[in-house]
Amino acid sequence: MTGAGPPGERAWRDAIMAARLMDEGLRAVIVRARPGFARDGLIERMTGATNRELLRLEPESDVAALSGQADLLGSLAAGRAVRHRTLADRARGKLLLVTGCERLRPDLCALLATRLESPDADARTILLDESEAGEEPGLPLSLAARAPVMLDLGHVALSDLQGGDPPAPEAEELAEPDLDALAQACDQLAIADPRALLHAWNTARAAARLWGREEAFGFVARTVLAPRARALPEPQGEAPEAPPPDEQKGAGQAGEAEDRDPAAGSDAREIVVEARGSALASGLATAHRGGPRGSGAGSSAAKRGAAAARGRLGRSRKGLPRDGRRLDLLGTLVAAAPHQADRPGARLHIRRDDIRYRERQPRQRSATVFTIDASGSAALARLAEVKGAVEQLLAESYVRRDEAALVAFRGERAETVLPRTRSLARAQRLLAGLAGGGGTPLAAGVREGLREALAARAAGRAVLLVVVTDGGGNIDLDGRADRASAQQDALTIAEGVARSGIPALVVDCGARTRPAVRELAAAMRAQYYALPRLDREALSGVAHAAQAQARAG
Amino acid sequence: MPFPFSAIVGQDRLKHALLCAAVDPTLGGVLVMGDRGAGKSTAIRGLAALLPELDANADCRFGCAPVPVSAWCEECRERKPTQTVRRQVPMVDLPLGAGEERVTGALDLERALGHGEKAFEPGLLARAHRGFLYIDEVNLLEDHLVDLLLDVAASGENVVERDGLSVRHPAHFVLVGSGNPEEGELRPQFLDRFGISVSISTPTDLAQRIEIVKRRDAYDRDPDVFTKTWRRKDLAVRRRIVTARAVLENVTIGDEVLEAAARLCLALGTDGLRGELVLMRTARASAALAGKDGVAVADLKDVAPLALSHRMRRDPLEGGDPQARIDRAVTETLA
Repeated sequence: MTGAGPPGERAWRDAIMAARLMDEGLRAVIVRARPGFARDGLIERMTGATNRELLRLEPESDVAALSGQADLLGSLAAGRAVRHRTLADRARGKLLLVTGCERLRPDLCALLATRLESPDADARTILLDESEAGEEPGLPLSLAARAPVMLDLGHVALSDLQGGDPPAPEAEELAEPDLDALAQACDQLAIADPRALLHAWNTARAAARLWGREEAFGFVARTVLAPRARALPEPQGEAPEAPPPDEQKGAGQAGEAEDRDPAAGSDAREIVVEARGSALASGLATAHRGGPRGSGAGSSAAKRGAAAARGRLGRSRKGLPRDGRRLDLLGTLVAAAPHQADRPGARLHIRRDDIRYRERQPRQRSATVFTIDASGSAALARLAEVKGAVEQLLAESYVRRDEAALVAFRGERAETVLPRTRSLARAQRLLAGLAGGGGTPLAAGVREGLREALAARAAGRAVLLVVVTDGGGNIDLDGRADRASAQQDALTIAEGVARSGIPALVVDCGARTRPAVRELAAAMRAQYYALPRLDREALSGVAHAAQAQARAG
Repeated sequence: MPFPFSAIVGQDRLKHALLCAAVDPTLGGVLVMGDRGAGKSTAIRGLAALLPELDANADCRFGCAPVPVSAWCEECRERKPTQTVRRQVPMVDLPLGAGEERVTGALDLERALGHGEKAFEPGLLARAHRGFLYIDEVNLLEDHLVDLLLDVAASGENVVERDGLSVRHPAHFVLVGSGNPEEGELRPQFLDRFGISVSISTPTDLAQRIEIVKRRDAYDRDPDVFTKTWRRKDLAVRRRIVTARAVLENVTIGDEVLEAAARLCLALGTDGLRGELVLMRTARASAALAGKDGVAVADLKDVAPLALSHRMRRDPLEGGDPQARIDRAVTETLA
């Protein structure tokens, strides 16, 4: 069966198949991998399979130059207009490798998205995503949507590289019922973007010509569909049910070849359902965060870059203008003026050393991570208030473009209900589905909140962690209902918060204040507030004040 | 050769909004918010390609129309050109990372530094003159650029005063912005400066999705043949636009329609007169496209979402589907 064997071996085999497909019209792959032997091995395979030279691009590459802007130095030296070579020109006949795709600036993203959309069928691109699974920010959505195949080399071990022979050759042409099957698979996995279906169809056809239909569907299910899935497939017993009669008829009409089974469509669907079942686990871990690699994430990577071009202009500095730096003409002339006597001639002489630029100073945006106790009987009322406060904060943040995230803990675990976002629409949708009840896994909650806060800080935000609870925890990190160890775990995590240096705020919303909450705040080195009657104005007011402090500090 | 406009599956609201904007460019920009992969840029590219070619002054960097002379750019006024050329309706993509210089145009650095000349290098706004300026992910664009674009789109003139330059040139274009609201919303103060807005989603119907992929596939395999197959339908759309433009001025709007429009805007709490004005103009463009010679009260129902859905006063804490609110208001006020 396709996709058998341990995950590392299977991932490596898929990678080798993808490398082979790059010579058969597959234009772009996303590879999630840290630097290492698996990644190097795959890139080598891909250059070998396509017989192309590698052209490397980094997040720091100069976009203005890649867009074909005037080459200032070249023009000065040559005394005529000289332009930089564009990306399309430089990458012609080469294999473009983009590293660090999870931290690309929006302008480079836009340039790459154009390349992936372009009608140039000869363009080949590898996008390297160096983030961890589920880490935010992930790959920008504008790129994730446009590259057909997504590989994850996270589990590939050295020993896996031994195996990995591609499947036995077998040429099969896919027909219309196969497209129907793929469309239904997309439907069940709640993949809405028609691009994904187009990717799946094109990839499946190319793969079927090399290795036959079954292998092709398995490959597509694992590398095209599963990473984009936003819903669990229906239970296996129901999903691959017998196709409705009219569909069988359709398949029969389309299958001119004698050896084609009239119910081919259902076969294909079974393969897809089965193969994706095994591959889905990893895909869904991220899907639950709101989409492929977290849908808020793509834009946040973009937003970070955008900050550099916003804000007021800073002071004049020596250097060439590029990447959002503006030429400071006055500064340049002033710098050149004293030297005019040494540079004879009628016209102004400007040398490289004279050129000044000014850069916009980005204003650091803030992110507030709410960690909310959703346990117990009072949870429902409290949750409604907290939801209101988060929405209020977001609504007020329009102008400042601040962000909020929400972690809720109840029962035995904590969960990121609202990944970091500044979208009110998204917040409302996700908050609507939030329920309360059960035990109080305080330690797990603070741990999850801290994780979100660290991710936000890594993305360049001024972070504030707000913990709202009405008492000590009674569920420890292992999920056991043991008040003593639960409290101990909570304090341990709280000390971690203190060590991280992330500003925090603990709000005691119980009817009577409890020493346990005060202790927690002390261990976190957090500010402590007692708000027995939590209302949205009060909570967002407190958060505002703390945010201002966080920014200033 | 872009994907033919008429071959786009579904997305009737998007197509209707773009057609209205093509018939009456004074509507102000079009804002398209919705899922990725719903065919936004395909539709805009397709529309620009099927519009009749334009006459332009030969060698004009800004693509000035031969008439009226009063609208010429400064360079044309000086040169007094007599030759004209045919040009495709421009469709300019504004990339997310574009700086202000690239958008408005700026001092031509090569000439300034290489030859000591003070010359203006036109930007994207000049290229978009008389056509479309398309911004994908407009909700992620820097605020000052959104502001600038909306200003120029409204005034029809690009004024550059910087680096010792003082240049103004005509820049009439239909601004089309698109984005996914879940990745960040457009600031409310920008929303109502777009003339019309439409929210779209990817088709949920399986058969439609399969048809999309089949057509795309056929197009990718042989764009020439595919485009030829759809040529007649595209030409029919072009004729509709050309006819609608010709009769637009003669489409009548009775007082009872104006009154109904005012009542509707009041019921929805749209701020200012802009909503009413755009509602009337959109209704007129829509009627012209439908071959009618007057706007009826019932016609307002179809165009109200386009003109008003982004202008309704909204409580940030109240969710609610704008479409449902409009439908309710329409039945209540126009009954």
